[in-house]
Amino acid sequence: MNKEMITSKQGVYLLTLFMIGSNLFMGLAPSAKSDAWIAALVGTLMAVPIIFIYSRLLSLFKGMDIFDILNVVFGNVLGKIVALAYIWYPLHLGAMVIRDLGEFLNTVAMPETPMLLPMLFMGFLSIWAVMAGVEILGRCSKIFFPIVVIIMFITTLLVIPYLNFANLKPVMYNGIGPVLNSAFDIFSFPLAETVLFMAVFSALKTDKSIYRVYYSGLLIFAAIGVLLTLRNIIVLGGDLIGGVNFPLYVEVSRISIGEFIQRIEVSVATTFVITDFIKVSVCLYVTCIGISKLFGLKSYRSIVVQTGLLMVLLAYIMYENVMDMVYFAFEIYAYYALPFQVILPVIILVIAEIRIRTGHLPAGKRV
Amino acid sequence: MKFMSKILLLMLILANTLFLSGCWNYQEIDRLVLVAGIAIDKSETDDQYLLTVETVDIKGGGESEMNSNTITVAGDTLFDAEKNMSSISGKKLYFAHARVAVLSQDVAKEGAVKVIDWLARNVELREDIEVLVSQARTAKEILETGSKVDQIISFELDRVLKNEKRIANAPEKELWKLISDLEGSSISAVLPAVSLKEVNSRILPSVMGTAVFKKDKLVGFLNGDDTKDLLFIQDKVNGGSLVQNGGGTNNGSKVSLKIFKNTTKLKPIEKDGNLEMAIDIKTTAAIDEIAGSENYIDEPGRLMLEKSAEETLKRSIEDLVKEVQTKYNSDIFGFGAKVKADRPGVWKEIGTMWEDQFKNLKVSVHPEITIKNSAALSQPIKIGD
Repeated sequence: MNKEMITSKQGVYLLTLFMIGSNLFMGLAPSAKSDAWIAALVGTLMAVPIIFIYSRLLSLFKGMDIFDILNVVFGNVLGKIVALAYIWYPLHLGAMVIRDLGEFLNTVAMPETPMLLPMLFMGFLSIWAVMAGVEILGRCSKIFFPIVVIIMFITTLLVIPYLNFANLKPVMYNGIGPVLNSAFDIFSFPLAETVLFMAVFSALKTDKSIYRVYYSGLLIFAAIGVLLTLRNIIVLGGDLIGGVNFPLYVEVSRISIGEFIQRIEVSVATTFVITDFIKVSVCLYVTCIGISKLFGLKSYRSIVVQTGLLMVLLAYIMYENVMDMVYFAFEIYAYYALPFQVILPVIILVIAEIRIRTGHLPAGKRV
Repeated sequence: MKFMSKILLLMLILANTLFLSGCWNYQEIDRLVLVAGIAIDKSETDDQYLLTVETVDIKGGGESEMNSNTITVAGDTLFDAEKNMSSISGKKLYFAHARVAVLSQDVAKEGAVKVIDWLARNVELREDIEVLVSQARTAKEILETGSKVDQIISFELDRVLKNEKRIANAPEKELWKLISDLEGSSISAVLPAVSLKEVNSRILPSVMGTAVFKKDKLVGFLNGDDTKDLLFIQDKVNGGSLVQNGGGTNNGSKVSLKIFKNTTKLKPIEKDGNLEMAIDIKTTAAIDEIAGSENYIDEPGRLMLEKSAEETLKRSIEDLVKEVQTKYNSDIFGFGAKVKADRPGVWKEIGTMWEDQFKNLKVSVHPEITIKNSAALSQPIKIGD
């Protein structure tokens, strides 16, 4: 079988778009209010060691994805049991992201259209993309990344008249506590979600080190995230950010230059759809890879459609309403995701290092 | 067989275009009524809201014509009233183009949040809608008077408010700003006031003055001149005029100064354990009118004029602060917000009892007016002997 490859540049773009995903639109760390940008910085710092763990694992086992790694490290039986966790997590995450999109369109654009409809179309699109393979995803992200950046850049220029720097003060009025709390939120959503890329980056052409790809992605995202969060705060003020569902959208809807350039919030909706699409596709891809490895299928392609539809249905039934969604995303998710993002990778790395040191496993084996 | 299935597939796809075309909930424009403005009153007889909308009737044809129309309907809540309205208008009311929302005094006195919530939560309404308080008996009469310039009163009110930046006698406030003021603990909200005035034997709405809120309840009004002082403190003056009695030896003629630029800086300072607010005002102005022949353009006259204008501004701002402190005790100037931003440590101690603190807060005003030119004339007009 021909192995599919993505270049390291595509890898970086894919990673960045994945991280922008849905969270920038729901606002990074709304509970930190006017200190959210500090929280974004701290969250990025917190992600540095964990991303080191992911890259270390991938560079120990070159050309393997996380499911292969689990198999090698834990053995056949235990490996498959742990693999179940990494099949469930992307499935659930993908469903959450689809739901974000559904709620977003339902709230701001089409309140009377059934939510299932846009979600279903997003599902079809992702199924199509994943069927086409990870190469296509890589190339998609190469096209989409400039679009997203350009939209962000233009809207940033246009909000200049609305900047009110007094909104940044006072800095850390409530002390460091809420900031750390929010930083942890940002860490788990979206930064450490990149754990899923341990199943994607096995397709990476390894001419550059995996560390570089991972950290470039993190850096680009941190730059965009901190900038947009700052912009949000300076334009809207910390109190309001905590009070609206989609702060970035609200912020851009304020723009009205000479009563001529206005109502351009749909550009933000565009980036929302683009990045959501990438994120859903990556989640779907990882889930399918996982299932196919679990059952020893020849190719993951035979199960993409079923899994994709399952994902959409899960998205449809998972919350009663948008309040549930916000509660889960901001209160529970960080703890729910901790095992997948931190605990399991750390255990895998520790065992892998021990077994390699003791000579049980050859490092850097290519499959 | 292969060919047949291809034909079938093609037909299936073509059939889809019939079913999937268009939008899910499309709305034709001729079935919508455009709402230009909203007025909210409290019913006098029972505990109901009266919702009035000004609608725009557009007639097509060669010369399209716009006419304004008002509909008033009662309801237990505003949403209820909106729904009841559909049964009268027959068409769906479309709120996305509404430009102003006028609250009556009764509604504002009872608490603005009750009605603001509906305005903010409504997905059709845009949050840059202008909010005003009616000084007339009800809010709906504002929308029912004939407009002078435009056919649609709401649009005219909106334009007036957008021009306020250059006039500075009413505080323009869009809905989102009002909400963030109401939510903040360290500032009280103000809204522009609109009243009915008789101009050239017609009754017309006039936007002038300020409605002062405490928490979300209306407590009183400031007139146009006081509003200018308020805007000076809030650093929102970008134009307008200062009228100055010349003073000096020949005490008499009035001089108008046109404001070009103004920056105000608030500075909370601590003086022997007491908080004090210093207000530094830097204004650039020009002499726009001298109602007399005294010379205020040469240096001594000009300096004297600057000095006396500063003195007047200082006095009127101090008076306003005193009045607001004693009469309303509501921090509409944003002093608290400034303390919180600049001295978070101090705010932590006194923030909870800011009401008492504000009442006794000492304020020192330091205006600095610079006259940059004298418009088109370089000399006062001299009357020949």
